[in-house]
Amino acid sequence: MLKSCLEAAALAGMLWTLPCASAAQLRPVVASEVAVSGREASLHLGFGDGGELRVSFKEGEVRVDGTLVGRYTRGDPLDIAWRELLADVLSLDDGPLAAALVAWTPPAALSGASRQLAELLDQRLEAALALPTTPAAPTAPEAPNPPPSNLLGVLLQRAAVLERLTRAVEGVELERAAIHLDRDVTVAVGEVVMGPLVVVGGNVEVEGKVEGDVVVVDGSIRIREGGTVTGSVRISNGELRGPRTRVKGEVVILEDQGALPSAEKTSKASAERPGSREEEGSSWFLAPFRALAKTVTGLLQTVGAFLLLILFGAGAIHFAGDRLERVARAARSTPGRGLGVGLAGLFLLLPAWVMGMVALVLSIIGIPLLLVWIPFFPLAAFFTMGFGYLAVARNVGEWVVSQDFRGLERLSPSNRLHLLAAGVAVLMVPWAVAGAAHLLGGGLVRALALLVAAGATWLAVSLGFGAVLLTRLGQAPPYSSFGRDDEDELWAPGAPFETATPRPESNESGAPGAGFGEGSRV
Amino acid sequence: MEPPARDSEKAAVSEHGRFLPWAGRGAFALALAAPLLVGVPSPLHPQSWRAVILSRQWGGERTLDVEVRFGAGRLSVAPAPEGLLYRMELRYNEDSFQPVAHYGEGRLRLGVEGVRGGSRWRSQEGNDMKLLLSRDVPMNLDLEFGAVRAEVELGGVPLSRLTLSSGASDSRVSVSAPNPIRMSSATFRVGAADFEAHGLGNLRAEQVRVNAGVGSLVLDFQGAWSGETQVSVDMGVGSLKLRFPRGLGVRLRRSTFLTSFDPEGLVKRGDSYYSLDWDTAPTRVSVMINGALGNVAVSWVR
Repeated sequence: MLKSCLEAAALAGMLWTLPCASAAQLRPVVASEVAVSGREASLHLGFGDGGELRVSFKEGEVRVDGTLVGRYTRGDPLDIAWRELLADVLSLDDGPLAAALVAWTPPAALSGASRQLAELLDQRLEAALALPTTPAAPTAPEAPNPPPSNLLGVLLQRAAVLERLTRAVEGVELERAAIHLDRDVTVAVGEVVMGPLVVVGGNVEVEGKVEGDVVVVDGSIRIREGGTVTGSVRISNGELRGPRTRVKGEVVILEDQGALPSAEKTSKASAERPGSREEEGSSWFLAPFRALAKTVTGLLQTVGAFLLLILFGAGAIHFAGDRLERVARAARSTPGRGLGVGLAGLFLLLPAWVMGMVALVLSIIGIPLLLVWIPFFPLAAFFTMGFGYLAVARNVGEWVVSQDFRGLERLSPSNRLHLLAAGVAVLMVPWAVAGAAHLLGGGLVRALALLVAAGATWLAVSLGFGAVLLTRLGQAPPYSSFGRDDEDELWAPGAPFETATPRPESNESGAPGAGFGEGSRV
Repeated sequence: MEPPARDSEKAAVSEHGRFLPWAGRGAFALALAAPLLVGVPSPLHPQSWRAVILSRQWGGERTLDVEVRFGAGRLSVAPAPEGLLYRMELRYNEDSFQPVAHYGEGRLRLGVEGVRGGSRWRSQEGNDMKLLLSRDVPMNLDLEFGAVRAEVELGGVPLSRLTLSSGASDSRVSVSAPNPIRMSSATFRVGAADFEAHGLGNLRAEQVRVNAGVGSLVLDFQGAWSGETQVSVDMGVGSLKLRFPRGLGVRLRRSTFLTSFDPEGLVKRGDSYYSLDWDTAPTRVSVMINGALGNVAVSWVR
């Protein structure tokens, strides 16, 4: 009742203070926003003089420039009328938009409070869109937002919350309950709060002691080390953070839909009470050692892989160092294309292998070659991917060395093996982190590290494989723009068309080096 | 109460419909009708759709940097009626996305971005953006979108620079009317995509760069060519179709690997292929093609 009176008073006040917008000239609308969804229907206008008007129907509340002016129910005549207006103006801008808004009048079907509110909106629109008679006229004073007079008033406006609260406080003595709404509550170290403590729409932090029950609705409770709740903890639409051992009573987590306390969750809570760790016996005692063993194993695996790659890389540098450089250059200069070709190549590997087998079988005389094709094709593909990976690692290493990180001064930018080792080490870091994550309890950290590690490796292999294909195993000089770190050189005077004088016959054959842009290669 | 509308305003409104041939006001109003009149999402489609229309009038800006970001869904871009700086019509899942519209200091950023905690993977298919861009302001336009079906019409939009980047998309760019100003460069970066660009001559660009990963490319060079233009096409895997209007002098060079090439109407001189009228053509375009794995075909249109 009080609420209704306050709102009616606010409406009356606003109606009284509104100026009349009878002038034919309308205020220029320079920006507009119409937003419509199942939850809201709002209008935002920006005027040439910097002013704004916001009218929103959202979640049962009607607001003008942020001020609550009334309430509506989804689908009621007022809501429908407002949405029809927005539908009418959504394709309009500036003058036509302003005209349509000013021309709007509340439908005759509206009555009572809805009609009163619609008339208020009509007048607010007309007032906002009318050209001010005096420069920079201040906007009409806003009626204060009628605040709910008490907690009950607020809760009554939130039926769902009230329902959850009703279930959450079942069995709790509420006579001396301390109730907090929409704010966080902290029980500080050394502080003793006499329960029951009821918190709605806020979080509870317990570092001291709560003598009695705690009820949390739409929030969470964290009981820190040293904190205690002597009674039960009942939570609706929230969670308990921290060990349940710090709750002397029962921990009850209500289902979100307001169902009765879940027996399963309650019993689970009980299982984690004092003594549960002892019941785990030796497995709990050995858990840290197991994690340590897993960590050491994971790190050793990473180091082993690192050493193997370095060994492979040293061989690649020794026997095919220049090719590795060409592949690395191609991967560096056109990573997008390299990645695209690499992905396509990886995708085609299996079909190519199978089709090769089929072709050899069909040719009859090629059947003996199957003995070579079947094992060597995958092997060749594997080494090609490895070669590409090393080329990408070499680029990563070059970047690392160029950063002048402390402790890496000894790495020489001209030493290919140094570059390779640095790059491989960087690419192996996520694997090492994943291995070490066992010590942190595994879980999310390890999963993330594994994801990053696998992603980085996959990216490096794909890009490297593409670069190997594009450079024909590093054999051909990079064509097109490969090797040109600065793409703009393409457009530099004299390159490449301006140098396109007819070439000697020997170059017509397409020999390596006859491609264009040759003169601008690095 | 009915205010007089200026002639220009009436014209603007009437033109508005003409510039939305792909949808029209009726279609968009129909799209809006769902949340407007129904509002409650179906149990089969638990997303909550929100429709937003934002617009701003041209306020005498001399230049504008425009960035458009759109992750997934359908995107349409078209010229705006005179006097309108931009107009963006969005339909998106409000649980997972929120609109972006920042304007100020000669910069306009538009699009949709994910909200924290929202599930971006949950049905992005219904996201829809229709964007009208000013004909009055020379702009540097930067379009970036991901898995999008895009229809971009830039005819008559004054562009001083254009960058279009797309991921796995099906995109079509048309320039049906000449760019009122000469453009320094137009860059198209497409990932795994089917990409078509029509009327590239109307861009009036000094340089056109196309960088494509995997997919099918159609580049149509019709339009009002002026001066000399250099075109660079870098292609990973896929097919490339080049359509030139007759009368345009064309010089083409290629560096390709495992790529078939059909140089219809071009003759080879030295390293390059030339159109027959290259030496006498009033307007010329030089095309460089770098590619691996695919095919390149040239055709001529009247």
